[in-house]
Amino acid sequence: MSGGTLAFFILAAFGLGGVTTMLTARRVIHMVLALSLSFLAIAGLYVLLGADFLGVVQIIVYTGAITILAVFGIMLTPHGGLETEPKSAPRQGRRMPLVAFLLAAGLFAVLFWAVAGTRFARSPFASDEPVDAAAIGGLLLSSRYLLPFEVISVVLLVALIGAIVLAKDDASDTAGSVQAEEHAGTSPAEPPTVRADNAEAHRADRTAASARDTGESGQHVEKEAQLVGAVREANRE
Amino acid sequence: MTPSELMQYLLFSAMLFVLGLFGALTRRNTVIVLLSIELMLNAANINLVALSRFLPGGAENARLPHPSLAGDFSATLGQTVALFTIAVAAAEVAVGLAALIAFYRLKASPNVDEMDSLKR
Amino acid sequence: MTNAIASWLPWAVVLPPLVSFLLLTALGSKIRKAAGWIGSLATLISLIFAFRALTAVSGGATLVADPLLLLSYGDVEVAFGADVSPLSAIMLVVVAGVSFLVHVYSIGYMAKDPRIAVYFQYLSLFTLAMLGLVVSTNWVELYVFWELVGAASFLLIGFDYMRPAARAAAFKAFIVTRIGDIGLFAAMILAFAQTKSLAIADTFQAVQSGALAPNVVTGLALLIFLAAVGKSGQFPLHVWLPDAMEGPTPVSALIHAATMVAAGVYLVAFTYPIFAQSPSAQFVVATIGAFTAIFAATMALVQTDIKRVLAYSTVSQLGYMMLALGAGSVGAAIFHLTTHAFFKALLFLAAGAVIHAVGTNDITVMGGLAKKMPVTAAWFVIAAAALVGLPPLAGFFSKDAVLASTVPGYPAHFTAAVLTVLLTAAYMGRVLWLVFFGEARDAGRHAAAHEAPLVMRAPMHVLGVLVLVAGAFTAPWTGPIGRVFGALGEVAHAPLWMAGLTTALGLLGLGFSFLCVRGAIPCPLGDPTRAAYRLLEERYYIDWFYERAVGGAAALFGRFAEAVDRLVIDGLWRGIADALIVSGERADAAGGGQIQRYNAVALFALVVMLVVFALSMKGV
Repeated sequence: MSGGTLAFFILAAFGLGGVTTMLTARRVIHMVLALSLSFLAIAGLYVLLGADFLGVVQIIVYTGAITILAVFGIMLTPHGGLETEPKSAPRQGRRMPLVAFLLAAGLFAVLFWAVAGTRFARSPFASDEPVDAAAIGGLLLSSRYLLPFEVISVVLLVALIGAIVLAKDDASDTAGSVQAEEHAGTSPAEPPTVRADNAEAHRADRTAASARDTGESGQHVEKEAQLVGAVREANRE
Repeated sequence: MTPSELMQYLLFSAMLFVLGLFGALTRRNTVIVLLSIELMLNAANINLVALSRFLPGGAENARLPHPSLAGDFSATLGQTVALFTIAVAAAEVAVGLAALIAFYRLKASPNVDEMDSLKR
Repeated sequence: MTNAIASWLPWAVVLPPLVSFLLLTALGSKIRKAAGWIGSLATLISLIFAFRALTAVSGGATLVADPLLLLSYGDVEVAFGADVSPLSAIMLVVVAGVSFLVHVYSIGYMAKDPRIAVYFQYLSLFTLAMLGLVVSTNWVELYVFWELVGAASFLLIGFDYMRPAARAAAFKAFIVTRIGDIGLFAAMILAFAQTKSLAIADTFQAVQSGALAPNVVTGLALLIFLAAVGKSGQFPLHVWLPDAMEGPTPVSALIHAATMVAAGVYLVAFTYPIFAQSPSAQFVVATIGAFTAIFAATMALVQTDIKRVLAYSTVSQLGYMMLALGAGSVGAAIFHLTTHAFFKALLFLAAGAVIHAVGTNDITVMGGLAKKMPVTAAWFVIAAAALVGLPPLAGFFSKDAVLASTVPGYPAHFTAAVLTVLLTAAYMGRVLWLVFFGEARDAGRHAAAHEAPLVMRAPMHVLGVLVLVAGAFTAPWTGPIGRVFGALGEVAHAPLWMAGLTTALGLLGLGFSFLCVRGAIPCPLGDPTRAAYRLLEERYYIDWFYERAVGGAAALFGRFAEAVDRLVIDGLWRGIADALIVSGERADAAGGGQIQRYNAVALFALVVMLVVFALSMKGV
């Protein structure tokens, strides 16, 4: 077993392990961290494949930006931090893990069949040399790919603006930003509009979130969060 | 890189893909669903990079039937397309999380279960 | 003439209006005042180059410019070229000249209109299209400009789009001329199918060499003539032209008297090599022309709108030109086209000045205006005399040339044409006496009447001088002009007896209408209650027939098609849609609105498809 193959198996083990941890973890924040491990392992695989530049981009974008963004998303939408549902699950929240598993397994079977049944022939001109970042830049700036390159930057800009517009608090549009800032100052996590029947549960939510943020004992928080879930259910009934 | 090594990569990416798919189908939290989708995109990227390793490398492109095709079928191209995918994925996460914030404001919940407005 | 000049001169004639059109489109309302002058200047440049082209081709040569645009589809080439033959040179000068004068006149006439820039923009577009049409070398190019002329005409008729009548007239003009345009399109297809080339010259060559069957040649000629009938307002597609008088009067002068309606005549003259090979097509042209001439003249007798009288007169005169073409004399037709452009434009411009002064089109409320507007009245009388064909005015020579061309072989047509002279004199006399002489029938309007401003008078002066001298255009001593007319072929000269006859008939008609208007003798058509008067007033019920019978039938068919569409076709699709909706609702009831469940269903479908795909791949 060559060094490359060994490295592949180690990295693949980390990648799959991260995903498996994600699928089995109970707390959302753990899931995100587990996934960031997978992303890191994939970056390693890129390097192994001679895509050094892509590996660096993978670390910056995925393990860096997207994971952090996901953590922010979780913190801004406090929900007790638990993925698994309370015992008295609401009707519409019923999971179908078995169906999903069967479907995913079916798809994997098809993919496996396709990969195993294909004879791959390597081009005689192919090389294992790492691809230079400058080569990627040259290709992007060549006349053939310049337009897609420009379009993708426009896509990113549009996504940026769209994200701002979507996440922007509608109420602050008319009421003025001062109020919104005050709001944010006292409690950054509080959503401004909360349905009346959920208000109480939501307050409890917020307590749980802030308690977690300030580093109180996880056990306590978890219990409180479960309590919050129960209160929410009660409210919904 | 040998064909059997390529198949290792392809099978690994297939596993990542279906695991991501399973996560996207079963997890409740929208953030996790989004990240599962990212995982699926990553799996596709691994395929792109791995398969492009079987294409002619940079220097041999001069032997292609037409000079304008240089770089079009190469490891560089595979990685460039993967780069495009990453850019789109980043845009998707940004918009997805913003949509989550907006959704949370409406329903006070980050769960996908609550996204049932599709039903009339 | 060196080739160097030939390569650009035709374009130098055509393109200045394009520049002014683009300029006016870009600048728009910012340059209200200057818009007219920009348009006029562009047309003046065109006119100067048109004169240059005229002198260049007076020897009978043809200028062939480099194509501006060359499209090729496989073996087929579409070259947007520009040729100037003696025929098109005359047309270029007439179009650019009248267009220039009308531009200048419009500066005064439209001065108070808030959309004056748009007006000149349309006018530039029209001039461009008309000049382009004249120099076209290719069926596609010809068709493009032909349609563009129609579009500009549509825009200008409906210029005052706030008035429902103007809108209706614009639509009517567009739709009726389109019937003719179908003919040109079909002719283009037929020519292409037969010769595998879209160049007009190739079609001529195929026709002249006898490569085409006689029936095909006749069909081609008749299809082209259908287009000419539509554009030139010949029977039975004449109905749009009188309604087109809803447009501004200078537009009527330019488009619906001098140039666009003459495009039909020009088209037939231009494609004359085709008509020359088909005696039956020629006979049709002559017959339609002669019939239209006398038929339109009768309707002009009872109109009370001054512009409508002139419009029917235009239809009638265009009939003369068609008659000459049918009788085989391109020279006479184009000669009459030229003189008619001058005197009819002058009539319209003078009528515009009158309308401008008294604020109405109705000749029955005018009267005695000669005292108030002596210059306008003088030019109107001279132009009317030219229309009637009194010597020594332009119309006398050109009309006699038309009549003379019909003498060999067309006695019936000749009789109709001579009778038309009498009718023409009668209706023009009626207008003259009612508008300019006698008592003022509306004191208020009469008091407010005034002579037009200089910018409107000047073009009338120029046209007036042309009306006085244009009769000599075919004479050899007029230099390049005479030579270029000579290049069109011999223009028949009327024998003395014919000149005497038409002059006598013209004077008779004028005198008769004078006595009639004065009430000295009972008018045969003076009583609105009489059946004959009603028949003419209602324009032989042709418009009524088109609206009720043709329009009604079309509406009926439309309703039938709509019912088929609604019941059969929509029913089918609605059934499918309903089935889908029902099945979707069933599926939806199972889905419960959950995104992830939908995703799972989609994934299930994907897996099924992949499995089916995998199983269907044999031997893998």
